[in-house]
Amino acid sequence: LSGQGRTAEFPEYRFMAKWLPGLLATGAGCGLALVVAGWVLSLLSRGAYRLPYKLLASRRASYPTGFAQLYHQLLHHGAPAVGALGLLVLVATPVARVVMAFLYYACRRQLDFAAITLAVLALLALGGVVGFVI
Amino acid sequence: VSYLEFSVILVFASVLAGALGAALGLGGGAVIVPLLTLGFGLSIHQSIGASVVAVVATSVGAAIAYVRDEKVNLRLAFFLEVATATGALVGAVVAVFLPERALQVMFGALLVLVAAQLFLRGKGTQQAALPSKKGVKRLAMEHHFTDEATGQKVAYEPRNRIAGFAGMIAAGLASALFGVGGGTVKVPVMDVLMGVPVKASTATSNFMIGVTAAASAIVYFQKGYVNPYVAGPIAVGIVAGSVLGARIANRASANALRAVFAVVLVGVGVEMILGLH
Repeated sequence: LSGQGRTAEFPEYRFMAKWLPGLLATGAGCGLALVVAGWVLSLLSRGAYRLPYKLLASRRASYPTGFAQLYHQLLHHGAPAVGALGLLVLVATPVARVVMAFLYYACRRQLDFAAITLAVLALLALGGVVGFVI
Repeated sequence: VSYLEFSVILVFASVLAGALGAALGLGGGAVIVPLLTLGFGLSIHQSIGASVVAVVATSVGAAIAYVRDEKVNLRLAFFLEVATATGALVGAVVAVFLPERALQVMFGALLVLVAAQLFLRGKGTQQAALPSKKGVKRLAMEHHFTDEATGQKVAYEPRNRIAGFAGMIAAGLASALFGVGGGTVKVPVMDVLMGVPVKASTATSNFMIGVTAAASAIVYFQKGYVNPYVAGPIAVGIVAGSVLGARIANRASANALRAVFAVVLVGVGVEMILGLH
């Protein structure tokens, strides 16, 4: 029985109910903080707030398109890169909970669900590769 | 319109999209994508890229509450995420290569379908829970939760897993193609095909949306369709809106809201199909 009087069949349900909300809240909080910081910096840097929005919203604008560019822009001229990093942290948050589930199942040698969560992680990693290749 | 004005409009529109989404059980994509394409003339690929990141943000927020409630069938979610991530990956690749106009027409059709579903949902169907079967088997996924409305324990075991898995590939595909959460496919698949009670299927669907959308968001990011100048204000607004919407949902008449929103969706959907802007 959980603390709220509801039942959960499998031991990982209690583990997840205890740790997942904290993990998700931390990821969402950090991601949104970076997004806001990037947004404010973008507005202030080089008078961007006065520019026509189509200039910044077009693909030719200087924002990172891919992990290599993100790294490069974070090191050199940061504003949109900080925002992009925040968006990536948001995207990585549900991925982190799959990692947590995989580690849980792997540590307890529940190979069926360890394999399932590993397959999800492999697909997400494949997304990164596919996006780079096509 | 300057970038400052644009981003302020985006924040307010996203708050509205997030609030409507939370109140009606939809992601914000149905509002965000038409706003960016019809309202601001952005490319549909870039609009979908921004929307898919916003979908991840709202799903993370919703998942926190649903996991605490223990209505999420975690094992079922992990199992079906293999399908949704596969569908999302394929959908993102297809979307990248699809011509702008084709994607816009398909999105318009999706809006009309979502509107029809909103009308039908208003009739209030309720799936009866299946009794849990005894015995140890591979990939056990039985689950039970307490329904606060009745105070009763609801037990069930998902059936038709292969059909459900196939349905989830379609849900992932739709999510990635249109930058939506895909809950409009996931919930009926679990509810009707797999016999998962609607409260558990809604919670499990919301939990899964984050991973589904993340699979396509990575592809869109690599292709340059996730623009922080656009997606940043939207992510902030939509999260604020979804918090607001969860509170409004308890007060507003869901049926009236649903009917109004459905009519708006039909109008916007027809506009996108016909290319009237």
